[in-house]
Amino acid sequence: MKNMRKVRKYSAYILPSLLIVSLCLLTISCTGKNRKGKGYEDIGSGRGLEDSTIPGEGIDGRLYGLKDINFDYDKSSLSSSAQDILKSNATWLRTNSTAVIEIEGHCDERGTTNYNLALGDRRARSTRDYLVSLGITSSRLKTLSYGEEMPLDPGHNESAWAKNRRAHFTILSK
Amino acid sequence: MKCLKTILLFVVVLLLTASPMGSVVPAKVYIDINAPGFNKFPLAIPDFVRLGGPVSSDIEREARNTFLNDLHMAGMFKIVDPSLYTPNPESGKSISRTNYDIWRKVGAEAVIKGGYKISGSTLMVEIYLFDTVNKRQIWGRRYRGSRAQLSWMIHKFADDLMMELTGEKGIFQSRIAYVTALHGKKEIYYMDVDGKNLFRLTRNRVIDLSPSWSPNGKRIVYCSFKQRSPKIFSVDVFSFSERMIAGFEGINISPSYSPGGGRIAFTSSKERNYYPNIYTASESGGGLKRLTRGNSIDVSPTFSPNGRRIAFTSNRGGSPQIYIMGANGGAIKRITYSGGYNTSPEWSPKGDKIVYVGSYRGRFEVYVINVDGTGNMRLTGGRGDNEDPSWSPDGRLITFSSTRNGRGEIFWMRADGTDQTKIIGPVGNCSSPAWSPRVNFK
Repeated sequence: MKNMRKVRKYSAYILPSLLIVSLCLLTISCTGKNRKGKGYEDIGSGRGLEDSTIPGEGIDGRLYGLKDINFDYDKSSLSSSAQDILKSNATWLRTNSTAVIEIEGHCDERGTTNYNLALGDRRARSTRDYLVSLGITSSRLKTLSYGEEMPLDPGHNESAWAKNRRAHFTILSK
Repeated sequence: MKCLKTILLFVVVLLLTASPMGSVVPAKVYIDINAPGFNKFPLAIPDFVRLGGPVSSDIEREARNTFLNDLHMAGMFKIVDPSLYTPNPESGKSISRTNYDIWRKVGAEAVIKGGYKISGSTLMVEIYLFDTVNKRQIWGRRYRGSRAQLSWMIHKFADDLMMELTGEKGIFQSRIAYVTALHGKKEIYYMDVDGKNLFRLTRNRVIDLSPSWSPNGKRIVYCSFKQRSPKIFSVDVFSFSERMIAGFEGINISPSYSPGGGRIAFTSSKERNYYPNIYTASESGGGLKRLTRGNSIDVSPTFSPNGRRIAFTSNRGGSPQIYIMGANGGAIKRITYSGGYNTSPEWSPKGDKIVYVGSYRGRFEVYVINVDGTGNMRLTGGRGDNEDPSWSPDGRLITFSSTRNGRGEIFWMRADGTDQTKIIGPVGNCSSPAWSPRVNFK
C-alpha cells in the first residue's frame, strides 16, 4: 500500500521530468544539426533565414560573405581595412552578377538623431561610391540610412560604439 | 503732494486693469519681469471649496497640484506658505468675495479662490482673482467640462492670470510632442506641459522621429521609416489625416515649419550624388527649393521667428557646427566656434537666441548662444546626456531630453538653465521633445 502511494506520489514528478529530458535532447539534437550545417543556414525552424532579417526586406549579406565595414567617429571616409573588405565584397558582386544589394549606413548612439541619419547616409553612399569605383554598376547598389536607430551592440561603451559605426549589406535579389 | 501722486497713480492703475481684456493691450501693472531687482510676486491659493454636489478631495488635490505646478513653471510667483491659511479661513463663504485683511496679514498681494461642483458626469469650476493691495476682485472665470478636464480649466485660468499680471499670456495651454518606444518601436506622442493627457499620435510600428509643430498647433511634421527609407509626413493631430511632404530617394529628415506655416524646411539627400542638403517645400509638399549645396552634411533647419533666416547644423567646416543663412539660402555665417560637435539648433521665439546641443567632456549638453555668436552658455551638466532642446512659446522655458536617470526622460528648465524639472508622465525611452505653440484647449 505504502509503496503504491509512493509510486503515485513520484509519478507526478516522473512525467514532467521525462518531458524536460526529451526537450533537452531535442534542443541538443537541433543545435547539433546547426553545427553540421553551413554557417547560419540552419537556424530556426521556420522558412529559414529570410524570416529573421530585420527590418529590411533583404537577406543579411554576412551569411553570403558580404562583410560589414566600420568607420571612425563622425567620419564617412573608408579606412584601408574597410577598402580591403569592400574589394572582397566586390568580388562576390562580380560572381553573383545579377545580385542587387542594399547598403545600410549606421552610427553609434552618440550625438544627434538627425545628424546621425545624415552621417549614416554619407557612410552608405561613400561605400557605394567605392564599389562603383571597383566596377560595380551603381543600379545594383541601393543605399539606406538608419542613423543610430539600429545598433548591432546595445552597449554604451567604446567597443559597442565601434561595432555600431558600420555599413551593412543586405541582398535584395540574387 | 507725494501722497496725491500716489493716489493718482493708483487711480490710473485701477482704470487700466479694469478695462476689459482683449480690447486693449494690458499694461504690465503687477509684475514687470524685466525690471531690475525683480521680486517674486506673493500669491495665496487656499483650497478649492465645494459649491454644491458631493465633496471630492481628489478634485481639491488635483486643482491645488496643477496650480502649484503651473505657477512654479511661471517662475515669477512665491506661493505664501499654505499652512498660514489651512484650513481655509473662508470656507463656507462666497468665493466671489474675500476678506482682504486675512490675505494681507499672511503677506499675499493676490489671492486665487476656487470652487467646484460635480453634477453627474460634469464638473463646474469657478475661480476668482483678487488684488489684496487695492482690495478688489480683478475677475472671475467659470469653466464647465468633464471631470478629466479639470487640469485644462486650471491651465486656462493660469494663462489668463499671466496675461493679467505680466501682460503676456501663459504657456500652460500648449503641448509637448516627443518620441518614445512604448510598444517596441519609436512612435510620436504628445502630452500637456504637466505630463498629463499623454496621447499616442502615430501607429506606424516602424521608426518615427523628429516631431515638429505647425505654427497653429494643429499639425505635426515628422520623419518616418514606414515606407522603408526615411520620409517626411505631416499629420493633423485631431483628424489624423496625413500627407507626405518629402519622399525622395535617399534620406528625408529633420523637418520644421516656417513661422507662417506655408513652408517646411528639411534635409534631403535627394539625388544620387547629392549630400544631405537643406530644402524647403510648401505645406502640400510641392514647390521644392534647394537652399544649400556642397559636399557636406546640412541638417536640422530652424526658422527665425520673422521667417527671414534659418539656423542649421553643418559639418562644412570639418565638424558639425551651427550656421545661419537666409530663408532662401545664401549669406551663410557660422555662429558656434567652441567645441567640436554642435547640433540641434532651435531659434528662440523672441528671435535673439539659439538653443543647441554641444559635446562637453564626452557628454552632450544643452547650450544657448546669441544669434550674433556672443554669449555662449552651457545650460546643463552632470550625469547623462541632455539633448533635443525646444523653446516654450514664450521663450522663458526650454524642454529637453535627458538620460541622467538612465533611460531618456523629458525635462523642462528655465532659459538660464535653472530649475531643471522632470515632467512626470511619459514612460519608455523618451527623446526629441518639441514644444507646441500656444493653443486653446477645448
